[in-house]
Amino acid sequence: MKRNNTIRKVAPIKDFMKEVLRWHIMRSEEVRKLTQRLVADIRAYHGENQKDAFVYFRFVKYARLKENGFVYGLALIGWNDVVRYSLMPNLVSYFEKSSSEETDKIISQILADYDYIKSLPANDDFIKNLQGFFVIPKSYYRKNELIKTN
Amino acid sequence: MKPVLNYPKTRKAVSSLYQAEDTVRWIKKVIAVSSINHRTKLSKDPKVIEIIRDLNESVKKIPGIEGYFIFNITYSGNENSQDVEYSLWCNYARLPKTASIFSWLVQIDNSLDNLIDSIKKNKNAIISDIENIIRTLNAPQKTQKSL
Repeated sequence: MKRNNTIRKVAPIKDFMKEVLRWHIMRSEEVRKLTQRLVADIRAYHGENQKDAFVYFRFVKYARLKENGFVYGLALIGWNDVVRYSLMPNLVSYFEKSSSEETDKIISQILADYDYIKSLPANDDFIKNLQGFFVIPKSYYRKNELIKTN
Repeated sequence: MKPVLNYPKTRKAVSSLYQAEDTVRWIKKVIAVSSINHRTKLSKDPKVIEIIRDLNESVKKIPGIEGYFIFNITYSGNENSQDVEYSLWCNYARLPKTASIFSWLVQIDNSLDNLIDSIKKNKNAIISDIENIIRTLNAPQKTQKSL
């Protein structure tokens, strides 16, 4: 209980996204499952002894207004255990698409392949040592570009 | 528009990132935000500038690199006291004029000289971690791989 209260108090992610970035968090069951799996992997690896270490990451599907209308993206946002809460969270936005359905389709594929993605070298390092960030290969969201370069 | 009273410093930092005039100034702002974020001060020791330049130059040579991997060394506490802690940070940021910054602690030491020696000794490992990120970013989809 204490942990949840602490997170709620010090990790105002919704506020940060909405009030500072003007990004709107969108409800997505698959994004929730992605978060659940990543957090479980980090906590499982770091064991019971580090149960209280502050590791809070969350994937978010978001919408934001650009010149030509809304774009829909997937981002990883949160704090690691170095500083509990400070100026702004760590944030990496993976991709943005003009269609919400297309974004959902990509998220489904990422969730389906989560075990493969987490086993890639950079992600293994991230989960075990919190070095780097959780990387999602470009091949999941930039198909046209990859075909062109190949 | 709903007024934001609780995060004036955060809003100022984010808007300074969006308002950077060019990439060089944007990188400086990324470093400043990261340093404030971790409640540390940026070290401007000449030895630090030299090692950071070396790391940043090595990262730029990685083929297929996308985004900016920006290293910096910060310290917490008083630089002249015994409880000072020096840390090497890596900050990943993608495009200028974005608030996307992801930072992580690479190495830490109570002595700046020891930290610099350790960075020199482990430079290949530090760069190899960035190479892994780039390799992962360019990895094929699972389904493509199995075909």
